[in-house]
Amino acid sequence: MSAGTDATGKVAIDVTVNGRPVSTAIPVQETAAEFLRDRLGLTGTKVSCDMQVCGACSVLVDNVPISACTYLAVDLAGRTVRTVEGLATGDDLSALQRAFLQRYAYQCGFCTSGFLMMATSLLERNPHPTEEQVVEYLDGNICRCTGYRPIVDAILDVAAESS
Amino acid sequence: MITEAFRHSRPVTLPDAVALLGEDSTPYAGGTELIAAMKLGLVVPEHLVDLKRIPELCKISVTEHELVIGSGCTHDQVARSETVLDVFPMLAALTGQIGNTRVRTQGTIGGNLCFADPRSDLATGLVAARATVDVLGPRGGRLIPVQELILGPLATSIEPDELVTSVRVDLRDLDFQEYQRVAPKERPIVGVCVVGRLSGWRMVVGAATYQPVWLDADSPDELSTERLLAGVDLMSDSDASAEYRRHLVDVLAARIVQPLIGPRR
Repeated sequence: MSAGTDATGKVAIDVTVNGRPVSTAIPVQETAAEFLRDRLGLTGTKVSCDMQVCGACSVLVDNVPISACTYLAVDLAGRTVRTVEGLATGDDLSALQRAFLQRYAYQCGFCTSGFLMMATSLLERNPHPTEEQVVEYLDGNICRCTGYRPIVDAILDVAAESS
Repeated sequence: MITEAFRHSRPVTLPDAVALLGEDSTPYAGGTELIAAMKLGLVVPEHLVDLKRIPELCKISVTEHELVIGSGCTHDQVARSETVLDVFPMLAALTGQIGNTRVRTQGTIGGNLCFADPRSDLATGLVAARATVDVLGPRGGRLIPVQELILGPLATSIEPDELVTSVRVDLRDLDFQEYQRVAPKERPIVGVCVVGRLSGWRMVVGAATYQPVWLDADSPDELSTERLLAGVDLMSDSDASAEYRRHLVDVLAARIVQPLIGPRR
């Protein structure tokens, strides 16, 4: 019932990250973003506002989007995490990643992994969203470069391509 | 970064959860408010009790005249529930607007109510619907109207060893239901909700005061914002002044009420 804390105050967790099982002991107060970036070296997940409003740290936990900055890593125990590093298969980018390239749906790129993860979860949930649904789903993700138009277009391109 | 360590428990049954609650424990589910507050150092809990893995708290059911939503249901779960869409569509629409997508997939209705943020959409809608909450503690269970649960900013009437387990909405005569809000950022600066039933009408103003305020009336033409807000001080904060909130209350209330009572004479 109680998560096991060892003598150093660490908690053991088992979690699957991008298909890879990870078993480790972490400080109980570690956030999911710290766990992914600092412990596993998966720095594709970015931290910007650090208060769950900008979306840069969006990752999927059991296919549901979360803000990794305000999510405890201990709560990942037994869960499956997907980050931007898991979207491509080898050198084959996902359809969304290709569409983002084609539409130049990024400039500085800092928000891009968050947008890609949110867009991935949107299309898994609703393969043919309307433009309004895309905008609504992404309203918790901030991009200060593109003005959003190419991001929305890239997502709608992928939706239109899928049968 | 959260600097202070804490004890962390993960009960999977309700009795186990209640047994862990007390003065030094802090229950949480989505953590959308709590973890942020911990990062800011505003809250330094000794013992976190994670309620996410208690299946009993995550169910939505409906009887002949009552909707029962487990306190651990996320806003997203409520917004997309066929049951809620069918019997209380306003609540589905309201929960579908809370925060952002990730707040909705993580944040729960019980957490929203018990955090008692004055700028809550949910409290406004549930007070309008005269909803009640089931509370469970070591002394047994009790039922509290939502309007009596929320005492003020971040203050509720439940004890540290008690837990809100579900929200109940009586569906009889829930004939008219509408919620309108203005939310320039994640949280509303004003929400106005009107629910009409055979037994009367209720208008609630939320996110403009420390807790929702309401007016009961026999007919929609008696739903006056002047009467509702008589003697009530509205909040001023970095997102809106009290004067602007007062203006918005009238605009939103008119949008809901005017179609019910016909054109202005």
